[in-house]
Amino acid sequence: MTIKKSITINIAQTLIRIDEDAYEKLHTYLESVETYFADTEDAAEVVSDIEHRIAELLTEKTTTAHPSISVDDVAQVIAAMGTPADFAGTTDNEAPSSHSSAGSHEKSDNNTPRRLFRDADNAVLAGVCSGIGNYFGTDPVFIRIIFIVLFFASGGTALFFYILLWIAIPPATTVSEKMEMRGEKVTLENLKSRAQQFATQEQIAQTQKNIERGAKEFATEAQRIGRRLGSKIEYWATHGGRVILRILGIVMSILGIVFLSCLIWLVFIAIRPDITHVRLSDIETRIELE
Amino acid sequence: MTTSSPTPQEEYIENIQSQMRKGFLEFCIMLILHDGAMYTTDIMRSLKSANLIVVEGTLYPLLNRMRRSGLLEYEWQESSSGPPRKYYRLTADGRAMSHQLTDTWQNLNDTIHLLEQ
Repeated sequence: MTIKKSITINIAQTLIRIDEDAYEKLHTYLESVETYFADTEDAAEVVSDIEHRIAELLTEKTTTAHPSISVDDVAQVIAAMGTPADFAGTTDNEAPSSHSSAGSHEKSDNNTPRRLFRDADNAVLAGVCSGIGNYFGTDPVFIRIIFIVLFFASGGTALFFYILLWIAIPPATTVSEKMEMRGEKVTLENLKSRAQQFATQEQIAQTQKNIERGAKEFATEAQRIGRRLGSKIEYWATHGGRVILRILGIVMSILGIVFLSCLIWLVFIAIRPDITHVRLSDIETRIELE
Repeated sequence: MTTSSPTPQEEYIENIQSQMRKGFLEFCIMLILHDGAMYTTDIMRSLKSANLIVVEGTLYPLLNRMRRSGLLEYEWQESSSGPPRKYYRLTADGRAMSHQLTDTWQNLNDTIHLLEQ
């Protein structure tokens, strides 16, 4: 694709123009750095130092021929700065216990409280059911079945509650929010293994797609239509009032113009009926001549 | 996805290497700052050109720790391009410490030479 959305960010008091996907990458990286240094005494100072340097590197990469920072640029900056995994050897804020749990990230059965988020990654409509499923640690399919049963049993009232939950529950957008949603501890090791998991998940999805493309595409298409419908409804729920007002405004102004021109026409006829008459007959005769 | 995990021996060697490097890096920063205040990015460039650090992110926690220990101090200086910059320099304590470390280094070096013969 040649068209990309580009935004301006303020990092360490420097304005940087950056592609939206590159921003997402940078944001996730800074979040992981912040999480890593969170327990140290000069956390704020170190993070601001790193941001300062990133701003400098990004400025160096920005030229008139290349005005907006791309994903590749961000990847290069991250490679130069290093990930939290690279810091682990040289800084002494590493928790001694973190090595024993490396690889296997702590699951729901420990005492980490889960947080209720909407799970947009596994959403059919808005991710309310999948979010609730995550919260209770069950397959979202069960929640969906319960919801559908409730929908018919209550004569549609359950839909109202769905919309209510939709508005009330925030979506999980960042990696740490997604981990909190599943009741995983947000630690460096977990963030790392989660990132790796995302990578393997992508690979699995790729092979699956290749093998059962037809079935898969049908499913994703259905899900996409559902989600698009969902986001449309969401849009209307939030912007609906304004949109209706605008449409009403347009209708009113059209009516106004029509009314005004009728009025002028009527006044005209009242003052000089002969002129309008002549004009009309002129047209008639011309048509006849042709 | 076939990155073989390091053997226990490799891990052990890596551990010793990083232990050796730890104090050494601090000493080098003090040497770099001997001639006066320096901008953080320039400190980083010197260390990088000497192959002392691989990733830049490790420098900032180190500088902050040395500052907290009273070895370094910094001040903000205006820059012609971009936001103000942090310039680090040695404190009196830092200077004394760096002399001590030079002696320590000299001793270590002598020991190595002696053992290598």
